[in-house]
Amino acid sequence: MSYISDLSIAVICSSNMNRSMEAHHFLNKKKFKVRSFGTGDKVKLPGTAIDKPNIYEFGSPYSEIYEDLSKKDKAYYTQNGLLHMLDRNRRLKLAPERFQNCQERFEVVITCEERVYDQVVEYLETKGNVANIPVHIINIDITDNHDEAVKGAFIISDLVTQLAKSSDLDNEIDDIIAMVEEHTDKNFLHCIMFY
Amino acid sequence: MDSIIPFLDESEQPFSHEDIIRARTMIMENLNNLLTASSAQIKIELVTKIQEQVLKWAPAMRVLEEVIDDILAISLDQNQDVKKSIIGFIEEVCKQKIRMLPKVIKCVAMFLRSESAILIKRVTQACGSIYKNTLQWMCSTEDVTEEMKDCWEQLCLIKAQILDMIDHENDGVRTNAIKFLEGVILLQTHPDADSMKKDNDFSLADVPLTLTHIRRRKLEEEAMNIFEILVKFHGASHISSVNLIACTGTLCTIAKMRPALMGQVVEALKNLHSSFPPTLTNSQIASIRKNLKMQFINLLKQPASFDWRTAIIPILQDLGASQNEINRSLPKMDKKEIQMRTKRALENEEARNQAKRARFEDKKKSMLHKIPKDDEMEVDEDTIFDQQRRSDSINEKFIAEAIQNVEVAAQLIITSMTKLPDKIPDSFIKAYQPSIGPVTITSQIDKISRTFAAQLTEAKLGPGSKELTAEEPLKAKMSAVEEQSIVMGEDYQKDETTRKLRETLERMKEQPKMKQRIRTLKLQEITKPLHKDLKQQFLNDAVRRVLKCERQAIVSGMGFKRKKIITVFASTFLPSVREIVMEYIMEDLIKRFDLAFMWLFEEYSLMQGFTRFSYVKSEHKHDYAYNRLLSDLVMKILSRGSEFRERESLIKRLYLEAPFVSDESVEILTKICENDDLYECGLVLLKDLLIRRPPREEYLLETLLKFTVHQNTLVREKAIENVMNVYSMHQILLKNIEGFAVKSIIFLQMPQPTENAMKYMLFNDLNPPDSWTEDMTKSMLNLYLTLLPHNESLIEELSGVYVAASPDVKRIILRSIEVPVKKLGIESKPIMKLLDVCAKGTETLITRIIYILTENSCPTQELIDKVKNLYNTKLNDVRILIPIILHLTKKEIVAALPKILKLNPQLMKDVFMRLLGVKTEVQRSNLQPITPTELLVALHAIDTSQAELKLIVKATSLCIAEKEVYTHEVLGVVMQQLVEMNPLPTLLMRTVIQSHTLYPRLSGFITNLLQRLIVKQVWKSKLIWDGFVKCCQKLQPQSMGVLIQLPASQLLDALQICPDLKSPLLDYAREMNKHQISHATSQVLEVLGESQSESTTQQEEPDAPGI
Repeated sequence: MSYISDLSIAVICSSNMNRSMEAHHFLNKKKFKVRSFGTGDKVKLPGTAIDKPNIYEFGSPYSEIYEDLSKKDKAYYTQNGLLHMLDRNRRLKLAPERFQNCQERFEVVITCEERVYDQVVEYLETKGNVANIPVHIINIDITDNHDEAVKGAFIISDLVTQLAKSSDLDNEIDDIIAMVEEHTDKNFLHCIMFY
Repeated sequence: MDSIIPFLDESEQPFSHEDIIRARTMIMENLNNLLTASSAQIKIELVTKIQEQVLKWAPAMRVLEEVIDDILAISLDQNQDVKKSIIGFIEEVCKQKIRMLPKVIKCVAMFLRSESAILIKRVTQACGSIYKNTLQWMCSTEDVTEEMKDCWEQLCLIKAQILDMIDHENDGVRTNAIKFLEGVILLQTHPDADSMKKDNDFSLADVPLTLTHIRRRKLEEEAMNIFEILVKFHGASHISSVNLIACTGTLCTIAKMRPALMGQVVEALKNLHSSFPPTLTNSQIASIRKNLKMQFINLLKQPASFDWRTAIIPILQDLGASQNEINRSLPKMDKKEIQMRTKRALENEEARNQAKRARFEDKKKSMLHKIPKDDEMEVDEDTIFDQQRRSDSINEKFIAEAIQNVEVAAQLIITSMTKLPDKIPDSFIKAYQPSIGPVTITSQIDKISRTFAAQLTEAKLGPGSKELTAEEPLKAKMSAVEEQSIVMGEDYQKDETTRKLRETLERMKEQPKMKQRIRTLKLQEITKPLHKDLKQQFLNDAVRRVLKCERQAIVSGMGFKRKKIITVFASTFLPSVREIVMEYIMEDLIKRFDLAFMWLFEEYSLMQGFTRFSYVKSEHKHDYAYNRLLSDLVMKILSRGSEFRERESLIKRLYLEAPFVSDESVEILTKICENDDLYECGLVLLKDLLIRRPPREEYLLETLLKFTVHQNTLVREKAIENVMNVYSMHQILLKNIEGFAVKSIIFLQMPQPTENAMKYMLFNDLNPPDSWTEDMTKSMLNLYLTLLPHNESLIEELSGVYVAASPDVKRIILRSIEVPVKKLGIESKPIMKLLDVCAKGTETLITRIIYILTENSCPTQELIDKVKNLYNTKLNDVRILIPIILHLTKKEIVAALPKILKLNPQLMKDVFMRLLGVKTEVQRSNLQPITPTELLVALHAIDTSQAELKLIVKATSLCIAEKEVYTHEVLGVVMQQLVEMNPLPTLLMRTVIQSHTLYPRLSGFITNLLQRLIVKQVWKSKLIWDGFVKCCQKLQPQSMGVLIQLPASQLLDALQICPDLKSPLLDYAREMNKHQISHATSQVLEVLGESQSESTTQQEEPDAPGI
């Protein structure tokens, strides 16, 4: 597959289910070089009651989760959209991945929640740097529901499109972020870390 | 350090010779592909492939040493991604085997100078690990070679360059520079017990003290300088958000790894927190605050941050960290450790204060009066300690005595009561240690007096203060109030707070001035950079001044040095300077030509790397400047026009003496060769260059050869002259020249000039005409024909071309080969061979060659034999016999005669002239294979079936017309012989009549012949008979006697043919009858009488006497 840009992007949310996958899906369609991750300890999905979440390990294939949920209560999970989401996910990749377990280096990492941003920064900070290769971490707050995820994916796509256009990202990222912020009326967190 | 071995030890990994060969094959294959690859993508893949091979397989790494230069050669590639892949390659190779560094360091330096920010960033990243590995390498190797030292020096230069990049205009470059510097600082400072540990750490502690070229002290000093620069950068108001975050991260990493610097880092972060750069947007500030919070928390987790907790915690609270969060990040310590740390913190505090003061003292003596009273002048520490101790003991004694007095003690307490704060300050709680166990009054007094004594000493009061000589001048400056409050025993805490407050204020006030607080004067910090244009203006003016003072320099004997300086200016400075120097040279070209040469050589040494590379060059290819200069000089001289007398000589000098003749300048030379005024000079120059510069000779020859087919005849001739000079005088490149000549004539095979041929001939108009013009054909042939006499064997090529060529071209070829073939001479072996072979289609050519060969010289027997052979076998064309016709036997000539007659009249005439020895320049001497008589007879003998009668008639007329040859005697002999022939030749009578016309005095002889003809019954052949009668008619009256002898019937016939004869014959008969009647037969008379009754007697001639 040929990408429209060399920019390597990671989109990260907590469980690598909804927000990151929505963005992954969207960027993938636009032929960006993108991967998605979660940062949590486990993959958590809402259950039939608030105190009974469905919990899976990272690495459990989406299709298995799909099967599991449809076994549990197909009507319910169809109605709340979870099965639909899982169906989309399993077409994109095999299983949710945990960012902390990934060895690949990215140029831009986009997080969907401040807590996730903290975890990413914390992880990169503790890992220490060996190669001095910079990575931009950008946080865009997206509420964890379907509609917001779709809206968020649009914003992420806007941002990534702008970033990919830049010939010298390190030099222009400040301006680009400021521009997209103004455009979308959102505030992003941004910092630079090193691999 | 053991976990990762940065360089392979080959001795431990023996590998066989076969492995190496295999590796070499693999790498060479990839390398070859790499060098010939066209697309950037493929190149990158190949570099990656080689990289993998080299890193994974030790033999390949060994082989790499041989070929690394070739791989690095593609770093000159235009494509940025290819360059990036090469940087990656270098980085990985250096990680694996730092010993390769000397080979790659130049490349690294080159990349660092590149224009592209992306490349600079990439190479800066790579430099991080390269620098570390190099330092390790230098420290672990016992015997450090010169090469390594050089390498290290270069690396230090690179380091300095990256340090400069902290002010680079590109944000990303700055970020990477910061990160690199972080690495440098960590490598060049000492760790301590609290340092965070990492794998494969290397620090100053690992640098052996014994090294001569790397000194710990120097490295540390450098690191501290860099650290200060970083801190300053961090505090700059114009810093961008990305850089700020990167720099904060860097400072924190340094703080964690080198706790000794933590104080300064915390201070810097604190400053940042109190005032964010004004240029940042709100969301950026939010990001930075967040980052700051994380960094502070991480710092707090370090045991070493214990000393700064008081400073960090409030800031963290301000940044929104909960108490819980803070507590969680505090490292767990047992009490003992806390005590230990507290104590150390105090000590450190003191030491720091002292150090700080000392620094202030050093640099800002004028600020002394502003420094709070508790500051001390810089004095020897020991002395101070000594003084304090003495002061303490004196004060203690004084207080202990004073406090014995209850009234004084009570007074003291009551006065100070009012000044106590409402709350107990933290510091008091911390410092206050309640007495344990039973306390006696004396011990209490001792304790109190000891505490107060210390405070008094610190305040430099009490009787003991006299001991503190060093502080003497300060005392006077203390304000009365302060003195009062101290005398009144004001609380320690108060003192502490005021001191701190003042300190803070002081710092605030000093803040702007801090920037001037410099250890070494750094111009770039205190000066603003001039505007670029202005700078350039200054530069240009300076150069102009240097240029202007030519006379002074010469007078003072510095002429040469001045020139040297100018050349350095010109070659290494900005383009504008270059222009100025160029103008200067051009002002008086002849006088300053040597300067131009010096410049040229300077550029050459730069190009070749004899002189150190300068920054200016980096944007172009390494040979750009040199080529440009050479071309400029040539062009400028050229543009002087023809009135500039020295033009030619200067151009010649320039080309012949320049250290290197570039392709570009050869192109200019090509133009010169096409110039009407200069072509001669240009071509000679080309020739000279090619003789004197053997490495480029082929290229130059090629250029020169192109002119040998030039459309301008003058140019062409001159070019050929020069080529021939090379060919025959110097005898080099023979094959190339011949090859070119052959190639040119091969074009002639085409029915019309192709586009290629037009290009070949340097025609501007590439539309080929319909056919070869004479000029074009000649231009193609010229060189070849000139070469031909020098190399006979070339003639073979010509015959091949000739066969295929169009008729026009053939004609021109035939015409032009005369001179060369003549030069080849008659004995030329290749020509003989050509005759032997005689390919189909070359007949005309061969004929022509034979003609030319025999034109002025006598053909050899060999030639004659060959020609004869040819004539008899392949080439049955009589024309080839013509040149050697005199060398044929009579028989052969006679055999060939019919064919000769068929030739065109001119040619035929020519042949006859040859045969008759008339009008030919050939010295006939004794060569006459056939006598004129024989020839003429032979002509008559030709069978009319073989040749048209008309042609024979022509030939005979031709012969007879040559009066010098065919005299009446000769003709007589001929006629005699003709008459003897049987049957009679058809043209007999015609010849006879002609002979008579020419030589009337032959009439008697002819009459005799006629009589003999009657005997031969001449009437049997109608043609001859007609001629006979005609002849008789002409020969009147002598012929009468003959006529009368005719038999009657024939006579009748004759008279019918020619009635005019009748009356004279009748007269004659009568006359005869009168005298000698017996002569005429009666039948004759009858015939006559039939028309003339008077005739009396007729005597019939007897029958032909049986001949």
